[in-house]
Amino acid sequence: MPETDYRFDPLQRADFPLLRHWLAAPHMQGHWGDPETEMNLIAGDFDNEVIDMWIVSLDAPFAYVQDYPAHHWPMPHYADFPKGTRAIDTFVGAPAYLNKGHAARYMRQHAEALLAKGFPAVVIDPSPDNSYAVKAYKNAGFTGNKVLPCEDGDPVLVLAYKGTEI
Amino acid sequence: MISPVLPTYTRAPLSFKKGQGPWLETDTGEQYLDMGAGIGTCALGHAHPKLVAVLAEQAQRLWHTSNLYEIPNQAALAEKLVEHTFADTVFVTNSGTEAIEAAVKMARKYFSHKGQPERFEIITFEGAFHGRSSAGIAASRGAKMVDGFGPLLPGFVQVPFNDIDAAKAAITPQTAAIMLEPIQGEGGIRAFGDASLKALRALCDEIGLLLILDEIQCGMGRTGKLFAHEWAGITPDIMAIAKGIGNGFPLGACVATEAAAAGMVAGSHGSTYGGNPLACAVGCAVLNEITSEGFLIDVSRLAGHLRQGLEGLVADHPDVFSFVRGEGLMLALGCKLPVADMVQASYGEQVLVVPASDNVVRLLPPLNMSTEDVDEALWRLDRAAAALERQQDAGD
Repeated sequence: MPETDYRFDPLQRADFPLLRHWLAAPHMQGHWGDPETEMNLIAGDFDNEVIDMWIVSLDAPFAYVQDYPAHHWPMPHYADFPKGTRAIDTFVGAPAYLNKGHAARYMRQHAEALLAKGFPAVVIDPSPDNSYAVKAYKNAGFTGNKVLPCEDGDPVLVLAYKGTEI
Repeated sequence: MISPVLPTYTRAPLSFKKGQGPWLETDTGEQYLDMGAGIGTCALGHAHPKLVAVLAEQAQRLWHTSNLYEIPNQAALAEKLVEHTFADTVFVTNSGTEAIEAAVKMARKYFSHKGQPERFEIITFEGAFHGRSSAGIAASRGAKMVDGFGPLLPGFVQVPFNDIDAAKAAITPQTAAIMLEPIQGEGGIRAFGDASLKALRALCDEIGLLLILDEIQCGMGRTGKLFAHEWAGITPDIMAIAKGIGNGFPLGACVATEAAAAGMVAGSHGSTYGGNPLACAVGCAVLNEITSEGFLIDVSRLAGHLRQGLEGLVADHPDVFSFVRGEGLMLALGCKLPVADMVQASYGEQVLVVPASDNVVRLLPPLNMSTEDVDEALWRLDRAAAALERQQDAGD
C-alpha cells in the first residue's frame, strides 16, 4: 500500500459534535468508554497544554489522535520508558475508513513526526483483546509483547514505535 | 410599475402554504426540506405542536395591552432568561434589530449615567451583521446596506474580522463598547473562537469597556449550548437575542447585567408591542423546550451527524465544495462555484439552504430534526452537487 499524507489538524472546539458522533458509533462500543463520559474527558483536557489533540483527515476528517507525555499522569505500564516518551491514544471514528489500512498509515506518519520532534520514544497501550487495533499498530511499526496492568488494573499491551523495548 | 410589496428583496420563486417540522409544502404540493429554517429562526421547526397550542391558547385570551401595564408573560420570559443566562435584566423586543438598538443605547447610556457621555463609540468587526436600523447599518457597514442612506449614525468604528490587536488599537477615550457576533452568520459562518472571545473579554475588563454580544443567529441552542459564548467560558455585559427565541413569531430581547443596565431608568427606552402577552407566551414555550433536559445534548449529537455528512459531501464533490465550517447546527459549505448556483441547484432538489458572504451556503436547520431527515437533506445536497458537476462537464 503506498504511503499517504494524512492531515493532522489541531482539535477545535467546533469539532466536538463530530467527535461525539464518532464516539457513539457502533464500532466504538467496547473499545472506548461511554460516549458522553469520553467526550467530557476530551473536552476537559481541551485547554490542557500538555496534551496535543488532532483530527486526522484524508479527503474528509475520519480519526482522532491525542498525544501526551507518557509520564505526566500515573500510567505505571509506561514507567520504564525514557523520560520524555510520548504516548498516543487514537481511534478511527468514521466507519467508512475502517479496515482499509488507514490506522496503520496515519499512526506511522504521526509516530515519525513525533520522533522527528525529538521525543525519545512513542508508545501506545491497546487492550490485548482489541485485535484490530493491535494489528493496525503493529503494521504501523509498533512492537512489543508485554502485557502489564495499567493505572486502573486492566491489562494493556505495551507497544513502542520502532522497537523501543522496555 | 412598483410591486405592492416594496421590492427590497430578491426572492426565489417559491411560495409555501404550510410546514411541519423541517418540511415545507408549496402551494402546488411539493415538499421541501428546510435546512435554513427561516435563516435560523424556526429553531423547533414549523408548526411545533406545543408552540401552536400555546399560541392558540394565548390568542384566545389576550394579545396586547401595551407596556403601560404589568405583563405577567413578559415577566415570566424575563425571569427564564435571567435564570438561564448571565443576565440580571431583560428588555423584550419584537426583533433582533430592536435588540441591537437597545444594546447600543444601553451601552451609551451606561457611560452617560457614569458621567462620561463622551464615551459613545462602539467597535465592531468587518463582516458583521447587526440589523438594518440606522444604528445597525452603521455598526455593520455592508456596502449594500449603507449605500445611499446618507451619513451613517456616528459612533461606530470597524476593524478587520477577528483582529484583536486592531480592536485594541482602535480604542480611544471615546470608546464605550466592543460588539460582535461570536459566530458571524451573514458574514459567512465565521467564528471568533474561544481564545478571541476570552481576549476581548479581558480587553474590555482592562479598559473598562462593555462587551456586547450579538447572539441573534448563533444563540438559542444553535451551537449546542444555550448561547455560543458559554463555550468560551466568558460572559458579556449585554447580549442581543432574537430569531430562535420566537421560532418565527416576532420576538427578541436585549439582556444585560445590572451594572450595564444602570442607566436604563423609567422613560429611557420603550416599545409599543415589545413583550406583549402573545409573543412572550411563545418565547416562554420555546425556552422551556430548548432548556429541557437532554435537548442541547441532542443538538450536539445531530450536529456531529450533519457535520460528518457534510464532510463527506466535500470529499465526494471536490469541484463543488471546498470546506465545511461552523459550530453545532450553524454550518457552512464553502463553494467553489458561485454560491447562487448551489442554492439554485438545491432548490432543484427541493432542499432549502441560505447563501452568505464568502461564497458559502449556510445550513441552519431546526434543532430538533431527526437524523433520518438530516440524511435526506444530505442526499438531496449530494444530488444538487452532482447536477452542478454535470452542468460543469457539459460546459467544458
